[in-house]
Amino acid sequence: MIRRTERLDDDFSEEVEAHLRLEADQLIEEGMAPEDAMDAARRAFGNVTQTRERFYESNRRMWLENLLRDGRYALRQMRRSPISTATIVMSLALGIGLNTGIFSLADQTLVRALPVRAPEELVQLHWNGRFVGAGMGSVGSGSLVPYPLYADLRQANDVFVDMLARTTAEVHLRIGDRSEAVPAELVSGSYFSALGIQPAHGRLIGEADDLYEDAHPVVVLSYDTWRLRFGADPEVVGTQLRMNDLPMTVIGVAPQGFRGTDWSMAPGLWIPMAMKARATRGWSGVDERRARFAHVFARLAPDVSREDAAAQLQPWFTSYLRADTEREGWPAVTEGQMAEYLASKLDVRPGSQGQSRLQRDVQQPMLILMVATGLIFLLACLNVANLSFARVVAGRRATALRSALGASRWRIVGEQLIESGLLAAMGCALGAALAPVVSRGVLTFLERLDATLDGRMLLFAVAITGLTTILSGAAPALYVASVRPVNALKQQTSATAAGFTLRKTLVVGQFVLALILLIGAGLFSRTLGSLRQQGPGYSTTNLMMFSVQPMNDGFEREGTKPLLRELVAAVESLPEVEQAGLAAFEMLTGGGWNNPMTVDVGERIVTDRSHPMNAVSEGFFESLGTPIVKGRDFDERDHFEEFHWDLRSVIVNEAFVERYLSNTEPIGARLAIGNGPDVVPEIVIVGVVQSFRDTRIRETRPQAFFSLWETRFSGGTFYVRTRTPSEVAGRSIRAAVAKVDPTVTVLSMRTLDDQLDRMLSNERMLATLAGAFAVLATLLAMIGLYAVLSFSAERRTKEMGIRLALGAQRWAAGGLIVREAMVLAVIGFAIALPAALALGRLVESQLFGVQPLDVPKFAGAVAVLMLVCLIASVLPARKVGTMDPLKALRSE
Amino acid sequence: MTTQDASNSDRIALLQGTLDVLILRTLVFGHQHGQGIARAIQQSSDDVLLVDHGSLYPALQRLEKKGWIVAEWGVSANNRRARFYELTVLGREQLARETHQWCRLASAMARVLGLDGAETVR
Repeated sequence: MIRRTERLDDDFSEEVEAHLRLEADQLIEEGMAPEDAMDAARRAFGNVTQTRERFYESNRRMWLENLLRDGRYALRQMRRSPISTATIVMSLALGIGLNTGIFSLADQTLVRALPVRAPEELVQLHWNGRFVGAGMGSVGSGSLVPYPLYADLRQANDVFVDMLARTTAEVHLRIGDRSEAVPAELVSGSYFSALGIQPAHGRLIGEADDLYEDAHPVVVLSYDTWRLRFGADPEVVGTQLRMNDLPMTVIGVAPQGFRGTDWSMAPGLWIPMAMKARATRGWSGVDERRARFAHVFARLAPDVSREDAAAQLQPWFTSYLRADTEREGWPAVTEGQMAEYLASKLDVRPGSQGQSRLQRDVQQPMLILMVATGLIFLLACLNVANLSFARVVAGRRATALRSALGASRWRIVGEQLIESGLLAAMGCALGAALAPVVSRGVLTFLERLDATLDGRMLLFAVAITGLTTILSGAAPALYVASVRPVNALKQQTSATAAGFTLRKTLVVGQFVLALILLIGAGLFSRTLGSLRQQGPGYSTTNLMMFSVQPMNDGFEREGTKPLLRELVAAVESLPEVEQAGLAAFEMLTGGGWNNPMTVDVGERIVTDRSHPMNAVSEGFFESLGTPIVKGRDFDERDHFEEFHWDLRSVIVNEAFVERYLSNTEPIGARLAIGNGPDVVPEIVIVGVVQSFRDTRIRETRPQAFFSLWETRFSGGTFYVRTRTPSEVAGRSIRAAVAKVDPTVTVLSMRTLDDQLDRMLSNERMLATLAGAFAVLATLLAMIGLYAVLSFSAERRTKEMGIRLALGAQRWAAGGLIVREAMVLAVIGFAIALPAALALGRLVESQLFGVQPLDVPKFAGAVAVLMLVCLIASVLPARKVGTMDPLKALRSE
Repeated sequence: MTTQDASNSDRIALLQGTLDVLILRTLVFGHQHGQGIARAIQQSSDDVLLVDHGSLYPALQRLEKKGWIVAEWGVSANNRRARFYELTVLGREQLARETHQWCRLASAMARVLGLDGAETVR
């Protein structure tokens, strides 16, 4: 750092001394008295110290020495006021931690591209229009297309350089003597090469692994599966494992961090699409044009835009549609349906983020969280600004003294900046440590996301907060430095009055933010409360569920029916069990079996949309405790011993009757699944069941239930009403299942309360986090207010002394401080209430059982903040109330 | 109080940057210590130019760093230890450049202020 020998400080001092002596000598020679000469020489020289300093500062190492010295000084200052230091650091840490944590998740769900080669080139195809399935179909835009469409288009287009198709399945993986359900991604042979993924070990699925149906029994393990279930053993490549009780060879391991094309599920395995029948219980569908299950992604050719691609594909797609209608097995459709089908479009949408159901579900809650986090961040920054200001102002006499002693303005501001910088650094370090905790906390609600933090987000939050701290430290420092030292030394209040107004404004700002967050928390917790209280429409207490998929455990389809019956009987015979029922589709998942229906009530009604349906055993409604309000429950009349699909009887819910059968006798009416013109309604309605909520927890929808024993469903979910708490019953149920057949895997055994909580994960997340944020915000606001009031109390010491001396009551003097707090709070409320109302309207779709303008909630939030106000003003008010008027008067 | 104080009002405070050229000019006559330079400037300007002794040293420091002057500790006429400054070749060149510029500036100022005549500085 030092290139040549610098002149030493002492050498310079010596030169100055020499100068003074020479000058004095000369003055004496000129006739001045020797005792005056040295003084005169000094006067002629001017400020000796300053000259020395200027020499000293010309040295290049200055900045470092200054920095170290200021750093030491700053640390000393911090030690002197530990509470305010701790508060600033904690505020910063919270601001940074929350922001980084939440924004990392938001980035994953809303923004982040797939970790693949050039994700921006990826597009996803959407079928926009009518789809005609086997005897049924639906209108709308969907990302699912029939697999043959992908295969055809891959041959025919020149707008994409590459295409891939994927779908998902849950498979059973047997490791040792345990079998577990693992999500798998079924992929076309082009999948990994099109995405540009390289294996961690072995090789990945290629075109050669996806040629002939059922001919390529290979799997690729995900990195996590390989690590957690196979002990990260590279030798696993080449070995066999049993998937759905069928042998498959492990050919490789996918790279770490690659989680497929859907953020909402992390596949444990990848399986060639040609092997789909093995993964999805004997049904392949890769040749079916009347079924759609594939998501199709493509990589745009260079210089082709999405619009170009869509325009070029459309003529091909239209001819595909026309050819499709002439194919064998094309179902009868109405003219209108035909026209809609032929007018369908193939949309080319951005695909860089992959397919995400999760994204759609959590988008709004995430946005709300982000806004709340932003508010907290703002609040923390206001707090930091406020406290920094308090520190600077408190130290203004020392500053003024140093300024009077010749410290330059820049030195003073510089010191302040160093102090702020140190505070920021400490806050950032703590915040960075806090961020993963926040992420993991949120992930308990969104379990499928990845907890890794985004470095960019951390950098961003650190930059913003650091900047805020430094600015909030420097602004008051500059301001104080500009105050004439003599005024500050005399402690003239005018010198700090302007800053005080600013601080009061900051506190009002904090109150506004805190109130908004409190009201938000109230709305969300009320929503969660209402939804929980309302429940699905049946009692969830002592109600358990578990699922079985015997075909994944190696059963033949025909063998599943007797097995399921045996299982129902075994579970029902347990002394802990009151009643057990079985449904083909798990409830409270947000999805399931949906189809349009045709109802015959003298006239033919085709339902305008798909309705949820299920296939259930007798005893199902009894287990739930939902009464049959009309007609009968299923019984042995609705059984087939043999295994085939022949629906004869149906039970509909009250909502269905209300919608389609309100003017007629529902019992005996007939309906059919599907909306084609050749659909013959011949399934007889035998009963009407009380409505309950299923696919959507906020509303009851028209629903139909078929007899499980008249279908070919090979598995399902048991609903068990128990007499004992669930832990005890759970063990007995597992034992009972194992006794029937030890190879049957019991899946997702949990209570219905748990299941409901899963469905309410967004609501729980919002309610919990909004509540936590509101508490934080209130605390931060309280600290801010306390700081301002303490300062105000100190500033008004003399005034209070006079008041007390003139006979004012002690409580009245203290009351003045409380009043000051209340005024600030009321101003805050006046601003916050309309803002909260407006924000409430924005989040209305997330609310339930509560209005955006919920007067008790608003009043509650106001009351909480008023209480906070009181708490924050108690200490300063007490100080004023208990002071000795004489001492107060004598104070400056 | 002293004679210096009494005559302060007649003196002209130095313009920014003029001190350098004055120091260089003073050193043309041979090596000199700081106090000597201050006095020499004052005397050769007939006590019109006031050199704040304090500001002299940073200027000397600056010139030394630029390599226009070099310094060495020595003994003064009255046997005091002092740091003596001497002009380098670079310093001489610099002085010539600055002298030229000052003449141009002075004559330009004179013309602008309407003092243009035979007697003004050439």
